[in-house]
Amino acid sequence: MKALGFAWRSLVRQPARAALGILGVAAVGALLFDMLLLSEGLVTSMRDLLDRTGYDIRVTATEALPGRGPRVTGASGTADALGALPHVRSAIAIRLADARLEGDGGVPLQVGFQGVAGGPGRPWTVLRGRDVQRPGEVVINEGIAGQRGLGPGDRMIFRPACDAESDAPPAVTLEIAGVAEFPFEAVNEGIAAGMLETIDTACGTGGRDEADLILVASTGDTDAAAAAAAALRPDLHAVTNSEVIERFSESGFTYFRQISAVLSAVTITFALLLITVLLTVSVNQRLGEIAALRALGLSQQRVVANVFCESALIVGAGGLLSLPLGILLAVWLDRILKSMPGLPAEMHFFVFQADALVLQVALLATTAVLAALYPMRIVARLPIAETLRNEVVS
Amino acid sequence: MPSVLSIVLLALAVTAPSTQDGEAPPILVTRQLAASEGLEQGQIIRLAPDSRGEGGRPFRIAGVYEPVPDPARLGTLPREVRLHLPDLLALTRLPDVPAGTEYVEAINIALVDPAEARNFARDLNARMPGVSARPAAEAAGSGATFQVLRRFHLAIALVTIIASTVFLLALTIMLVDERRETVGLLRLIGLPVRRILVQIFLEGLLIATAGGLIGLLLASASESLINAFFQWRYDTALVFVRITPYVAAACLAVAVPLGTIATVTASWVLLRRNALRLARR
Amino acid sequence: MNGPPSSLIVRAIGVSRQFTMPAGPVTAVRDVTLEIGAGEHAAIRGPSGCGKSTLLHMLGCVDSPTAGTLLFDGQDVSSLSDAARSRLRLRQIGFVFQRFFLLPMLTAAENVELPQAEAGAARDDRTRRTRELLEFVGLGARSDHRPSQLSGGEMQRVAIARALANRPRLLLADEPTGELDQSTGEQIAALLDRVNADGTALVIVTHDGVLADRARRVLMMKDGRIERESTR
Repeated sequence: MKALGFAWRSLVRQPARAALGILGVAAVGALLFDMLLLSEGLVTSMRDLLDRTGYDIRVTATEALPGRGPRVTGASGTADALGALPHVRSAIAIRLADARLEGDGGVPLQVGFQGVAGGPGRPWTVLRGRDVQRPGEVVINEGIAGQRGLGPGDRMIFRPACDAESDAPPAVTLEIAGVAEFPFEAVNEGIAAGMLETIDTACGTGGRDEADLILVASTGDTDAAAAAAAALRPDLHAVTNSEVIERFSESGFTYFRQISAVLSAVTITFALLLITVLLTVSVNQRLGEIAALRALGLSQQRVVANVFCESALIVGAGGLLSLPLGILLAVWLDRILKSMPGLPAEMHFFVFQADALVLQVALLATTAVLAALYPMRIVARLPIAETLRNEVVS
Repeated sequence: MPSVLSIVLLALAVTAPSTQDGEAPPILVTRQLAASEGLEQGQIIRLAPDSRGEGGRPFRIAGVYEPVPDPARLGTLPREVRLHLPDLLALTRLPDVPAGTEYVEAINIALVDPAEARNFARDLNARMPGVSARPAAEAAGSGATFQVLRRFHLAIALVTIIASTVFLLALTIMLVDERRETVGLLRLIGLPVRRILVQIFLEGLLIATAGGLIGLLLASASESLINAFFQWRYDTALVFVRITPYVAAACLAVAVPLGTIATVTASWVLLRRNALRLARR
Repeated sequence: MNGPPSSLIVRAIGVSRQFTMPAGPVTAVRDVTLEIGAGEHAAIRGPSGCGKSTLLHMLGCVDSPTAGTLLFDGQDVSSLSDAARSRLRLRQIGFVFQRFFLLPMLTAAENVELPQAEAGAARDDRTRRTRELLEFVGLGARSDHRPSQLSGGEMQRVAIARALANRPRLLLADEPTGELDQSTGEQIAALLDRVNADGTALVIVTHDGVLADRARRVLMMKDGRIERESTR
């Protein structure tokens, strides 16, 4: 009988104990797996969202988030000039504003408004109807369409809240050209978008031509396109998606990375303790048997290998079980965290990454080895004669 | 230092003009901003409302301050400057906006009796239509983000408790199993199952209480370590872990019954076996 | 089998075994010289704590003397590595314990098969040998039973079959009837006689006078020494 088979029989001998050991490893393994997913999940999700917009450079007038600092002046001209640069496929200027959707005598709906200039692309995907073609037309997202029962061809009354320094502008009536999906829209968030002229007109800032950011799509060489954009307008910040991700990794939600590191360490220690205690007690209860096997001629390596295989089996079975458990747990935890206000609906905290799986396997394998060290030492250094004598005396 | 520094401008209070003619108005900068940009007290810097630096004005750094920790901005460097409100309005007013027509987003009011905040807000809302007054605790929002984080931490705690329960059961089964002969002998000499169970229950209670208390001691010891680490990591004065009496009581309320039940359950499984089988090796 | 041993298996020359105890060193075996030849049937008797089991453990190469020399097949055992001693025990020595020490998760057949598998015997050979041995000890019909399904006497018979699995030249039994009633003990004694009759040297440590009387050579121990030796 090989060491693995022998270890299996040893475990099955005390099924409750083995089952609890495996379950314990599965539980902490699931938590560990989730923490590994969490450590990079947000960044991965953010990268995915950024890539989905189709634009790989963001040009802003500030290092702050768009809408929180000074705007890009001469936005339309800048977008056109950026779009004409070598290495650049297209560029669009985007202005952001808040608005209140009125009508039907119901409670006004607070929505976000985006106005774009340049092109030819758009930072949204039309789901129904058509894209905006002229000022006065907008596309709305499912958040507005669902809550207000609006669709292509309908009209809606908007009251924008543009700038602190401007007077409260009057309400405007806009025509809905289509329903679109926005990559960064939050759950139940209402978003409407049209041309930059539409928002400028609505805000009464027609001549100002400002944008919160300009999105630039490169032809492939992102760094070259970013350098060209920076050279065109040295007063602006041209940041590639990779740089955004880098900054996001450094500052945004690093709390989750930290907590995942702490919890990963705690769970691994927990698993280590669990298996070490299980194996040590199990070995201590079988010292007589082990000494007898040694007396019968089983080698030191063989009995040590048996203990190691027991550890490997507990961790292996628990580790396998931890994956489906971890996925279920991740879905639950993701649902909890995604209820944070203002998060894009498509953003996830727990995103499957092959690296995380590899790390999980490596950590559990290391745990199996470390956990088996002490009981293996007991078995390896077991004095055969003394143990047999003690067993008889006891 | 970048050509244009993006900062958050905070007006301190409505006051009379802060300086005499020709003198740069005083400002305060955050410790973090001062450190990152190498700013010092007494230094004259220019602040501008737009990215090109147009309309910028000189200001004198009157001091460096520690910003109030803001959990919502954890991980971001607080690059903030505090100005007197007239200085801020003068700096940010657009050329076509006449002076005196500006408005502020909010006015913070400190009451003599903070407990009256709700009543004060109600009265103010009734007397001044167009003004929305809310107690600061409510104005800060329901703390939805932190409610979510709390739920997340509770979920993690739940999983940890489940894993701990499994661990505990495995341990108690092993410990009880080690004493099977003793239990078998006690049964053989006539001790009723109930008597043995009571003894085991008391023992389990004692061990669980001791374990719970040691756990709390460990948590207390690690509290300052965790806080020190995160405060260093995020350069903030925020407190991340605080073991309150409620948390301590909740931990004991979970740990002690759990430990006791695990011991009694494992023992009960053993006691259901035949006494002779228990005593026989 | 009568007469002097045809060839020497194990030879102890002035062996002693001292243990370090909290109260001071305790000498369990003192200056014992002893030879066990092929096919011999010896019993070691003596009061509790006189060093019988310690001597047996040294003869079986599971313990080392603190003084003196122990030769197995003419080779000094103290010069052997742990692995070499394991191989020696696996192939040349069989052990029967008072408490059987059968592996509870294995069947009777699997317990008997284990040392053979460790010695690298082919599966078919193992199966055949296991069947033979279980038939030999009268448990052919119970090969699939686990130890928990066997009586004490049956467990000891399986333990004897296991000890004989690799055809050892020397079988060492430490109080093999210590946990059995008289009738079952006699059955085990008869079985051990048959083992010896087949040519395996047998050394039994026992308190049981009846069991010892079946041996051709009886060694009486006291205070770690062989006080008296008698042969039949």
